Amino acid sequence: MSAVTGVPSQSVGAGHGRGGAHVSGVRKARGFTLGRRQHLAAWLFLMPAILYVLFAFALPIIYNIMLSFEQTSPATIADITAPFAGLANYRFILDDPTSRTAIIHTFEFTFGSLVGQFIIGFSLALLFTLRFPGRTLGRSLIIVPWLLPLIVTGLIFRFLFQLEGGAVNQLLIDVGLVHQPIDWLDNPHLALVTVLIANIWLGVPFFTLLLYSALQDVPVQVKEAALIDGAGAWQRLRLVIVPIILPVIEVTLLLGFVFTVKVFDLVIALTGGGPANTTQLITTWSYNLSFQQFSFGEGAALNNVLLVLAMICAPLYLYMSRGSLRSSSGAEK
Amino acid sequence: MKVFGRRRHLGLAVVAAAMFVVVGLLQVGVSAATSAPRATSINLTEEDYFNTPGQIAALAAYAKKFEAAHPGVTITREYVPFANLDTKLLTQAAGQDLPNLLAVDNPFVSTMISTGQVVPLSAIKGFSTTGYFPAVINEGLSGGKYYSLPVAGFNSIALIYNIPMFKAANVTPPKTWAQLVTDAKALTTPKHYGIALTCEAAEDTTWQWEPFFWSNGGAFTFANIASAPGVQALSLWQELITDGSASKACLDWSQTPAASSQFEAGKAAMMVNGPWNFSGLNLAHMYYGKQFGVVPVPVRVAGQHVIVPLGGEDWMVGASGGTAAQQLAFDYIEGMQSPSAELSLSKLFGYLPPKEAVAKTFVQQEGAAWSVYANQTIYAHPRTLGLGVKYPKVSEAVWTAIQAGLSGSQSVKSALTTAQSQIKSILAG
Repeated sequence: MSAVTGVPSQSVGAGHGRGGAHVSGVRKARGFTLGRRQHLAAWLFLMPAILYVLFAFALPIIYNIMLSFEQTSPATIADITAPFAGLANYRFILDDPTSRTAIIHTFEFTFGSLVGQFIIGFSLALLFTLRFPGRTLGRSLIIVPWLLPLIVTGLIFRFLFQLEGGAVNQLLIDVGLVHQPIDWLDNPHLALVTVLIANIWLGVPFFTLLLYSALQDVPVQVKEAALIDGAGAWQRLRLVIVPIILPVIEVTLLLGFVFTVKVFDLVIALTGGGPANTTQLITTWSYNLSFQQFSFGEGAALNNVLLVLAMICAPLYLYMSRGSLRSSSGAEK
Repeated sequence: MKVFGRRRHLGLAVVAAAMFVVVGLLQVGVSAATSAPRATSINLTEEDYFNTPGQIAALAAYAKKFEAAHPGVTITREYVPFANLDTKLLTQAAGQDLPNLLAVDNPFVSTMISTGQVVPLSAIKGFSTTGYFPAVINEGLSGGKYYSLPVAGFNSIALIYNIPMFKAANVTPPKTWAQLVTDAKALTTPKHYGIALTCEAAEDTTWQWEPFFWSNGGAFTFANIASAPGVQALSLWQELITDGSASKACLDWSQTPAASSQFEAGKAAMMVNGPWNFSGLNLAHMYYGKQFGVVPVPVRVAGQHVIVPLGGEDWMVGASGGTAAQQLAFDYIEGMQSPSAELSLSKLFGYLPPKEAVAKTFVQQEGAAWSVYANQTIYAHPRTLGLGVKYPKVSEAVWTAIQAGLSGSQSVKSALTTAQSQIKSILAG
């Protein structure tokens, strides 16, 4: 029995003006169909939420889209609109080598982060399903990276990886793995990898927690049945556990994607986008365009690339989570 | 569901909507009431990013004196961190709601003028450009009008060196680039580098490189950055790093505090830096003439003039206040331009006074540590002169090229060629 019939109130026919007709059997069959006054009430109740959504979400997005088609500068800042620029800002984004690499880096960075976070996070989640001393402590400690503000994490990693007196280099030299300190943050081919390492460390708790709780939900009977059928550990994981928690994996990856694609503070604190813009992502570079170079139009155009990514992801998330929501609400019944 | 009748349903919704509206109206009312000026008194708002104890004390003392001399006038100072002030001012300009007084970093002055939300000071009675170093007063010159006056004078950069280390290595302060390279090599030991460079992805990197590029014949607009002056200047920095005389970690180092703390900690024998570091050096028990000395930034060949960029902040007056407020704001600024006020402000800020005669007195009073900074002012160049609002973009192209060349993501020549083509299109746009 679905909650909303979707039948327009007109089709209900006559008689929805009077209030006392609630007893009639015809009315009962109409379920939740609303009368005109109830409609009005519903809309009034919705009004604050609608206004809020318009103000907090629609307005900035519409303004950002408008900006991206305008020829902006500090000189136009006091006016509501600036001269129309056509596609000039988007053409700039396509021609600007840093914008192009920022888009490519955002994809590489996101992909790398998700792979790293998933592998480590899933491994840890599996580890914590085993019984071993210190399991509870380990499970609590794993959340720590999540509790730190991003800017703090960035600075910690900066101290760890810095060329002069950084702990990572000191460790590698002491162990004898390298003889010269590695320029983690200053090497254009390595800096993005260093940011990636920091971001994987940051994202692992999220993956561990979600996947661990999903693993807890795998019915014991199914696992035992597989065991009795003679499935090995790898087969049980691949053929039994993963298919069961697949909806959660999908949603976790999707949320991880959304978190990673908008990473900003970490890069700013670690490298500031350098050396030579080799660690610029869409977020940091659009910030740079808008608030360091004051090209608000170009910054907005680049930001809209992110917007498009988000707009692809939102329906995808709803679609994927619909499956898991349905199965969980089904389980309740 | 049945607990609520249909009528009550509607009633509740109406109440909810009404409350929503009322709360909104109340908020508008409250803000209107608080922002309405009282006729008897004027409050001047001021925004800046000054945060050293000396700067805070200097501004507080001046404001107190001004309030005592102008009954009914109050000054409300708001501190905004350096990284946020430009953005905040632009946002306020967008809302046509700038503070009455704004202390703006000088490369940002042109941008503020272009917003049209600041008042030309030269239109106000009592304005004068007499006595100022031309480079200093011209920072606020646009379309024949002056929009700014210095806050506490100006600053620039020179080569600060560690005297005991120079004695130990038996070298004298370098005058040319060749000497800089050999000195830096001789000064490098397992314990410290020869020089601490600043090459982070920010304005201070361009500012540090400007004396090398400009003194070597580079254009103030950087239009010829990929030709000999630029290639030679960036190759010099690259050589210092490949020699091992300078740490590659400079790619993350700001001028102050990163590079300066390397110098203060005895991890570098030289740095290019400004007089605002003197107090920090003294705190590290380094004193002028004993532990550190100051010489001009070396030039490529003897005989070239050292051309340094000019730093410092300028007062501007927001157009949002009425004429009475604007006049008062101007009086506030003008009061800081008297010789005695300039002398005390510059001392507390660690800057040089903005007028030639006052600067001379200042150097006599404060000592020889300042003389290099004062003497090089005749060849100093305000960064935005000739570039205006384009300076931030050009500067970014420059520091990106420096980072690309030094990190090895591109060769020096190709990094500068990329920058030159970017700068050409910025200048044309």
